[in-house]
Amino acid sequence: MGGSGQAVDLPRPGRLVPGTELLGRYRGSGSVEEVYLVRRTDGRMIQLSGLLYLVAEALDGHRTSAELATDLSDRLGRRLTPGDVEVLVGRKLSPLGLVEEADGTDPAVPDRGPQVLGLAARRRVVPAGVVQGATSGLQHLFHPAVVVFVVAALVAADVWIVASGHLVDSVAHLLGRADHLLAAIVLTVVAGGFHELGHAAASRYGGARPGEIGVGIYLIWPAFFNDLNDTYRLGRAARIRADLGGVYFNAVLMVVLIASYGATGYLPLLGVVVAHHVLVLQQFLPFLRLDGYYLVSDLAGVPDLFAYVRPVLSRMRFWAPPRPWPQRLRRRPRAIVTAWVAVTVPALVGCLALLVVSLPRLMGEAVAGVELHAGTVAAALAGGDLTSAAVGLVALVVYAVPLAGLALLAGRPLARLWARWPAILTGATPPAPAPPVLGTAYWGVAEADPRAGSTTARPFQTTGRPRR
Amino acid sequence: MSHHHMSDHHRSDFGLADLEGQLAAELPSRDLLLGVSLLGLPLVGLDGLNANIDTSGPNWLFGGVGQV
Repeated sequence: MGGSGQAVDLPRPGRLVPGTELLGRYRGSGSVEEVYLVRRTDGRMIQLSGLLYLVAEALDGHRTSAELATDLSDRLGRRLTPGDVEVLVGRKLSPLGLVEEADGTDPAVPDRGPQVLGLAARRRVVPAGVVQGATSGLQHLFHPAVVVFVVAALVAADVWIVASGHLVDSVAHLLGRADHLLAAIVLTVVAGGFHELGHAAASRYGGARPGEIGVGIYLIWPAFFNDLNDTYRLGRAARIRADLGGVYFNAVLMVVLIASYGATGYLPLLGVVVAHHVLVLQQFLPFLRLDGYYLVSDLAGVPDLFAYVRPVLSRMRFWAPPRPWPQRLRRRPRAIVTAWVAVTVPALVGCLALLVVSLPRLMGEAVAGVELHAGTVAAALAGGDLTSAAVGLVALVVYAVPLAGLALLAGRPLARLWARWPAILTGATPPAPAPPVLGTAYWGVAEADPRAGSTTARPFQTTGRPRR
Repeated sequence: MSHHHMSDHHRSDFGLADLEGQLAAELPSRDLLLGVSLLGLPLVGLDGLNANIDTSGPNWLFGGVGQV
């Protein structure tokens, strides 16, 4: 019996997009199953099951699905068919923008949409390269001996400030003069930038590459940010160090300011230190995306705590089955996540209710504040008082930014509704999802796995990365 | 003589549901933030400079706007 004489054009899955990094296991994960990480070329991190990670590792653009299936089956110790490979590549890896197109071009990166309670109006101020240069020296502040010294110095200084009786005076003194207030404002902005450098330096110390630093609007007020996507590659302890790096650098700055006060006797410096304590304490709020949130997230090993809100809450309803959890968690992470939801949901609901009730009054005060300080700035400029004009300008920004933030908060859902209005009116259904990239019909995926839904099908169990 | 059956090529140890249920998702971005709300806490009314302090910033969110 001879061969058919026909050349069969076997499907050849594309390779990973050049520049994609395979980072291995996600360390400190709270999930029952092992999770693996891949860094996409745009810097975003992708989490994969062990099986998908092996497939991603094996993709080289040369081998056919059959060759890949044979290789992977040997490594897994379980049989994977070419059709399985095509399902995994076409329906799981390709939609995430990880696999080159058939013509060798890079795939479109999927748009994830806005994050729940995420940063808006995000603008880069310091490029990643400059941040990495700056942190090459600053990272040494995370040497354990330096950390112990800074923390001890701050505790001692706090005790001294309280005992000295200057606590209230220092803040009152700060408020009493426009030039002191302006100095305090400048120092607070400096502290904000230094805080972000702290996150960056801590992540560098741990072995990650810090990203850009910038500004944005978080909910309704201005915020600094540092892109720390690369810290996903670190272990749990190093990620927690990166989370705390910001407030640690605030502590470093406070020690410097207190020492400066000791040398100069300039009382407003103490007032700034007191105010910065409040700034630091605010950062530990766990129910907004501040440092406290990421701390809880890394303690639990759960990257996206907000994804668990609906599944946890659904367990309280008796009229419908509970929603499945995004991932099965081990016992301690499950307890942490449940506790976090139990605190966060009432806190956010309560704050939202208070905000809605107070909104008309707050809007009126904001508009009045803008009018007042606009007049103050004009009068100060006319009188040549640049300091008061600068303080008034900051006051203007402080009132105007929350107004802009509220407009953004309300505007985004309205904009989405506006875009969908024609479909809502006509009752049009959304377009069907695009078909899988590879010819999955070739190996019979389209003929529907006869064992799909069968009680004899074994659930896949990751056994970690098999030895090569 | 080959004992290999054509159907062996299509016998998989994985169900379709297994394959489609494999974890594959983008992780949320880690933008560590500092809310510069302190700029809003307390600002002196410049017409007077005496004890006319407004509080704003994140107190809005917590409904804690007050007058000192």
